[in-house]
Amino acid sequence: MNSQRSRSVVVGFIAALILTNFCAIAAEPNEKQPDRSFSSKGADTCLKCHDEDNAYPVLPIFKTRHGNRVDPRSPMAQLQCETCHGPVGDHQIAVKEGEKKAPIRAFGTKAWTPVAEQNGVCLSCHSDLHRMNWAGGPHEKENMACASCHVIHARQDPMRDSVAQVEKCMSCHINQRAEFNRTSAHPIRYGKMRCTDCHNPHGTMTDKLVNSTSKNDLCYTCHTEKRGPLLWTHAPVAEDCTLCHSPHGSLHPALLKKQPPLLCQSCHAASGHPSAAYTADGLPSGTPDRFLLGRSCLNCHSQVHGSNHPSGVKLLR
Amino acid sequence: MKQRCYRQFALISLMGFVAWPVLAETQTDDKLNIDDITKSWKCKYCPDFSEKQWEGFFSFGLGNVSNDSYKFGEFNGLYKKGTYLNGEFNSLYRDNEGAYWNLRGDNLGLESPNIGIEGGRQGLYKLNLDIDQITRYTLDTSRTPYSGSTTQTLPGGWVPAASTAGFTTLATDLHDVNISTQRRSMKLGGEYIASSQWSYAASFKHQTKEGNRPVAFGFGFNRSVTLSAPVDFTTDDLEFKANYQQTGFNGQIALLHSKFENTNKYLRWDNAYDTPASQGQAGTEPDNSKHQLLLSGNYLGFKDVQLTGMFSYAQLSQNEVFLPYTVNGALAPPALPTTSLDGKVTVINTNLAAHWQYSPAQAWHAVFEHSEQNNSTARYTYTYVRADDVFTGTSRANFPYGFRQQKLKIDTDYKFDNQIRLSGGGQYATVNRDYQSVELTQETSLWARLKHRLDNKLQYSVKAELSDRSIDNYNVVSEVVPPDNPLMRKYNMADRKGNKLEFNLSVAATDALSMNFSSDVAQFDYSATTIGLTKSDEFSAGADIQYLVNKDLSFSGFVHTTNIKSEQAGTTWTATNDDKVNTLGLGGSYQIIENKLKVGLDYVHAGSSAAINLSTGSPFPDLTTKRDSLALHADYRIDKNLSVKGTYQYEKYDEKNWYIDNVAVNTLSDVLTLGNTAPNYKIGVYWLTLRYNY
Repeated sequence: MNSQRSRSVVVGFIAALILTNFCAIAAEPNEKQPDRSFSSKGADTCLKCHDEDNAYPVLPIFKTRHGNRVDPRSPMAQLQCETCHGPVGDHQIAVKEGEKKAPIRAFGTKAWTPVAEQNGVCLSCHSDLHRMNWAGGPHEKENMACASCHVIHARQDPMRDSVAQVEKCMSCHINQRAEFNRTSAHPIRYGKMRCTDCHNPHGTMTDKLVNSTSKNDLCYTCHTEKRGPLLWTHAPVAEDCTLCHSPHGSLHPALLKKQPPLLCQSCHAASGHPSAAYTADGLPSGTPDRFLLGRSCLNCHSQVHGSNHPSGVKLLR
Repeated sequence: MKQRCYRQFALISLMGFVAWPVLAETQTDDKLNIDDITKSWKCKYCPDFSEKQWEGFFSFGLGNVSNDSYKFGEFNGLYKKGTYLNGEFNSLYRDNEGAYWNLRGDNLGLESPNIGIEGGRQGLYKLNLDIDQITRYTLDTSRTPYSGSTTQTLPGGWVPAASTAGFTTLATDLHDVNISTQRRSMKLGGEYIASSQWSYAASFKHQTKEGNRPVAFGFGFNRSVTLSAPVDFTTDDLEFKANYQQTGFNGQIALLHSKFENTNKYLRWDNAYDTPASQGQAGTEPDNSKHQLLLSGNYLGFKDVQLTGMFSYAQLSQNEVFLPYTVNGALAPPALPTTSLDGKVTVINTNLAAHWQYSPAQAWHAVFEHSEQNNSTARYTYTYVRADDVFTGTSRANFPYGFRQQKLKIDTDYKFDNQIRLSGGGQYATVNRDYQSVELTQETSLWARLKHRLDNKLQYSVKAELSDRSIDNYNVVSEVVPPDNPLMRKYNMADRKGNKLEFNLSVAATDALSMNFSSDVAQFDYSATTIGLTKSDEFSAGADIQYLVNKDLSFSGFVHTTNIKSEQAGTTWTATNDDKVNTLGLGGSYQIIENKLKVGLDYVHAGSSAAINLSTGSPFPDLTTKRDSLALHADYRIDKNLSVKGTYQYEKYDEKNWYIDNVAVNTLSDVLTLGNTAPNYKIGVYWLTLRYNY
């Protein structure tokens, strides 16, 4: 497909999308909400039942910022439990054993409350910059509730713990779990990194939910020595680290996508040694080949991330 | 340039068009009179922190590791046979006035400790301190005749020779050298909430990385040595942020200053061979700095449209004094054209996004990204010396590479009902490059996705994506000597057609049993390439199962396989890479005595093989890794506060790596290596940990 044809396809596609936009029939939900009123005693109404022995204990929330009554931003300083759960209404009415209580707004993946309503409650306060790209982000599109990951009624939200956070993310992202078990990987499985060190699961304007202005900018956060600028820049390094590296993990050393010499020969085929075929005849059992064994191309061209030496044009110095 | 401006205008106009119908509608909220509702609320059952303000736990562990292995201890510090002590704590303070403190520490006693303090007065200020250390043990089978740090010398009596076979004193001169790095960081931050609209934050982060790393350097055309080079990096980051927030709008201005310093300005080493140069000298990573201004914000004031944006302006600079062309006094290159690079790169990122909830059933999302790296580093011609040994008068000017990337993504999402969700979108991306073979690449991709929820127990999704990348022209960069093959197409600048297919299935058979299955295939075809990467395929499939038999017994498991294949062509040969990775995990947990005794096990198998085949010569053996890890653990609660945990882990690792296996220090006639071998270990570790909760 040439570029003109590509452009025609894009324009046509966008036109089709816009057309469907104006033809779309809005399927307004027509659920009738029960009439509810606020409780007369606030949290005391709830805590009469939801104590430590209840099936839904809530007391740990008082050990968190959501349970603080001094901070005016905290739900407990506003309408207390009903700030998030909504007016208690008939839910406060006692029922006979075996009967179900009238529902109240509930949170979680199995809760009856629609996810959009659940998340709307959270975002009514947490619509700050960390979450400004939630709408339209991949997790919002997956219809994930905030409570799919976060636990509010806990002394500490597990998402703030490295091990628990990683386990949660990988319960869905099974490709990434496999990658972090590869022989070369960032130290996620040792608990020394967590997913949110590099990604913002609440949405970003960059690809892959990278929580920086670009992939390279993110890598340079820890690998600042590669930031440069350098006299002899290796062009793909400045363009995109992931052209050569698989950031989650690889079966090759240094997170490489494949090993030299073939990795290097994907881009270099000048006459002489870059274009030669390096075969198993160069293994120790044959004629050991310096272009193949040990560090392969890096036996000489070790400055693959670039050089600032005046004689470093071939990345030898 | 005119065309680029037109395209930007068109893209922004399109985003405006998507958003315009609702721009006039503003959000309205029904305000509750909270004071009226809560005037009689007492909160008398709410916990009173005046009685118990601190709570948490601390633990002490005693462990033993059965064998030495850097690979096993790569990041956990358990690299050496012997006894280890470990500690952990987590303590939380909270009072009725909103003061809070969280103190935590883990891996205390190991070489990967972390300590964190966070606290303040909620709604007013926050302070945090985080201290972390990651020690990476890289190689424990290295040997070298060299000693020293930034200047590495050979022992007295060293006998130079034309090849490694002639190093007659090598066997007696070799000594062990272990390769590891230690990364330490300390971050101090604070936030002050000045009003309901304004808050300010500042942080300072100090990072160091020390240790050594393997690196190889040649002399002349065909001889090199591998060294254990010192690493001593320091990075300081200082950041200020001001946040503004009001109903429907958030904004932030941030300033970042980052400075990287390398203590080691050069690496010098004795020449082991009998070529004329007596020493070689290489450059190291120069000091550099980054200054960044970041503006970001969102606007939620329209009823159904949310606008977000980000603008970043960063300047990267570097002006380290150049080393000489060579330390070989027998060579006489001309003077350097300049004493330092005075390198400057301006990086600008602009991102705009609009989300339009057109109806309860349909949403639109558009993102425009513009990124550019403008490299204003001056060009000079350098008459270089090849590896401190060969001076022919050849010269080359530096390439101040620059990039401009633009991307427009538009997608829509339509919910037919609570069961079917159809999404589709497209992306158009361009990349402009300076001083490279291709000036402009354009890539278009389209995708569609169906998510179908059959019932509360079963849902699946299918996503298909097509992409097409085209280049304007491919030219061999004329100044590079020797010139690259004109038939080469570098894979990031080559015509490419791609397709991807993803499938996900979630089954919640019962409240206790849930399973997920996912599979994806990605194929990229570089069929217009004669030399270079011609094809790349990736397939992966995985399944995950959770089974809660009852409140005491649960099982979990996962299995995953990946196959990555690529084909590439050389001048007279072709090659394939066929990588396979299989991962399996099983876990179980059983509560034998309620709230008293719990046991569990976890097993992980991770195996990989990489097959490399060339159209010529004899075939390579596979590169393989295999790790099996079994952990058994038991928790016993002695009383309300005290518990004890016992853990036993057995791990076996086997790697076959022909790059280094059977490659001794002098196996290669013209490369003195470190003689590493692929790691293999069988290690048992036990821990006994006493934990006190308060």
